[in-house]
Amino acid sequence: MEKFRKQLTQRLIIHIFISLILIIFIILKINNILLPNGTSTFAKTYDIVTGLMTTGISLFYIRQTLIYQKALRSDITLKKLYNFENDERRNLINIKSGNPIILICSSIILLAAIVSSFVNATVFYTLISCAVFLVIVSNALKIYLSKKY
Amino acid sequence: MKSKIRELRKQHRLSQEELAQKVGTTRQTITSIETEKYIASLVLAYKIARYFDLKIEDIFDFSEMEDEHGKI
Repeated sequence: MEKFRKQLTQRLIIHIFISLILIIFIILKINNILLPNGTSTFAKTYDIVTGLMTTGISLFYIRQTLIYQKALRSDITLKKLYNFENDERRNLINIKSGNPIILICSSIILLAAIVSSFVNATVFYTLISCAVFLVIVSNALKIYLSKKY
Repeated sequence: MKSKIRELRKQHRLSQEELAQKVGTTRQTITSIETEKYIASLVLAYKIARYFDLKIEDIFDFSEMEDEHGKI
């Protein structure tokens, strides 16, 4: 359990660091300092996607940070988190629903979509649809498999 | 696969959550094993058997896998 505690502390530091970077990015973007409006050909959609992505990712990291902090304070919660993360049924469902490969792929596709927003609107919309579709399929599979097993 | 986990749990007055904590898994996994939706891995089966101080075959019913001569 001590090994897991150390691992969790390391993860916590990384999460806080990423959350801070994202929050700084959001503040800079809101104040129009970084990537000012009109940088992209499709500025509006580009702003929506980057906004949703950064806010979503930062909310995810903040949530994880709170979970890890709570687990590090209490041994019972730490054991529960360890059991949850190493649960064989959960791991099986994750593997069968294509996690984490699908998540990685859709993140890469989203990044590619942001880059493509500087060039072509059609490519941008196609890539965004593709990434969203992948995430929906993965989550639908996860729900189905959770009921099955 | 049929198992005697539910009976053993009741004998030991354990909730699913408590048993899950003891054998290092989640309540949902114990529920799935009890309702025969999920077959436990060898490691988890061993942990459960060890906890109740029994053999794996005393808890899990392998008769479905055996033929009329009792062979797998």
